[in-house]
Amino acid sequence: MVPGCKRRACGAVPGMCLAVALMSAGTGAGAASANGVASATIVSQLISLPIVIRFSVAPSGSYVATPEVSGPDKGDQLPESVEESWKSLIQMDAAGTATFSIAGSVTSNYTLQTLGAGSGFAALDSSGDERPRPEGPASGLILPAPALTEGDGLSFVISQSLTSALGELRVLVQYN
Amino acid sequence: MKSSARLTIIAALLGGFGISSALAATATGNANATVLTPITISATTPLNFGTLSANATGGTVAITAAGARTVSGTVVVTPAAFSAAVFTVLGTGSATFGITYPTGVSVAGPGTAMGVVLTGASFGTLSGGSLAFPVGGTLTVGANQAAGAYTGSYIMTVEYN
Repeated sequence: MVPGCKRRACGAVPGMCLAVALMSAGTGAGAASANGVASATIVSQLISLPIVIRFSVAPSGSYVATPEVSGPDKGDQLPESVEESWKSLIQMDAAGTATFSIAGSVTSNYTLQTLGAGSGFAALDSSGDERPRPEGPASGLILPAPALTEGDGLSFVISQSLTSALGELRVLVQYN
Repeated sequence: MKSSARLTIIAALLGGFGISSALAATATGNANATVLTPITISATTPLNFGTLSANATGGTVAITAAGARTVSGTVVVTPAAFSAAVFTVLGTGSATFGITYPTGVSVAGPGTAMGVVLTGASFGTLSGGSLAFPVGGTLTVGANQAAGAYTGSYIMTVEYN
C-alpha cells in the first residue's frame, strides 16, 4: 500500500497516491550546502620618514654641486602612495646616483618610480638662472621592490643618467 | 405472484440497472510527477577583501556581489587583487532555488578576528541546469588591526523552491 493513502482512497484514485509518493521521495535531494572561504590581508601603515636624497657622481663624472637635500618631515600617516618633491639646485653633468630610503612595515611588494624634471618647475643652471624646461616625457623609471616584513626598512639606489638640469626630482612610492 | 407481476419486478430490476448506470460515471484521470535532479552547490571563487591597512580608527571594507569595493573610516586599500565569491549551482533545467546566507562569519589571523556580513541575491534560477551566482560581503576592520593574513570559512545553502 502506498504510504499515506487510505485503502478506499487508493482504490478510487490510485494514480494520485502514486504522485504523492514520488513527490515525497524527491524532497531529500532538494537542498545542498558548500563551504566558502573569506580572506583579507592586513598591512601596517606606510609611513614616510624624512627622505634624504643624496646625489653623488660617478668617478668619471663631474658635477657642479651636491648638497644633501632633506625632504620635509612627513610624520603623518599617509595613504598607499607617497610622493615627495624637492627643488634641487643641482645641475648634473654626468651620471649620478640618487639614494633615498623609505621606512614602513609592509608585507607586500611596492614599486618605486622616479619622476624626472618637467613637472612645472623651471630648470636651473649652475648660476641659479632659470632655463627652459627640458622637453620630452618625464623619466618613468619604475623599480620593482622586494617584499618587506614587519618593521623592516628599505633603501633604494637608483642609478641613471642625470644629464639634464634638474629643477625637481619627484619620487613616488606606492603599493603594488 | 402472478407472472406478469414477476415480469414487472424483473423489468424494474433490469431497468434499475439501467437507471443506476446513470447515477455513476467514470473518467480518465492523469497523474504526473516531475523528478528533479538533486541540487548541488560548489564554491568556485573565494571572497577576498584584498590587502588593506586599518590605520588609527579602522572601518569597513565592502565588496558588492558585482565586485565593486568601497571602504569607510580610516581603512585604506591597496591595488592588490580582491574579488567577490562565486558559487556554482547544478540542478534541473530552469528550476528556481532559494539561497541561505550564514550569520556569525569571521576571519581569523594574527590579531583580533574580524566580522564578515555576507550579501547577495536571495534566490536564483537555473539556466540549462546550472547557475553561477556571486556573493559579496562587508568586513569590519578594527583600529590598528594587526598585520597579517586573515581567513575564515562559512557554509552556503541552496534549496529548490
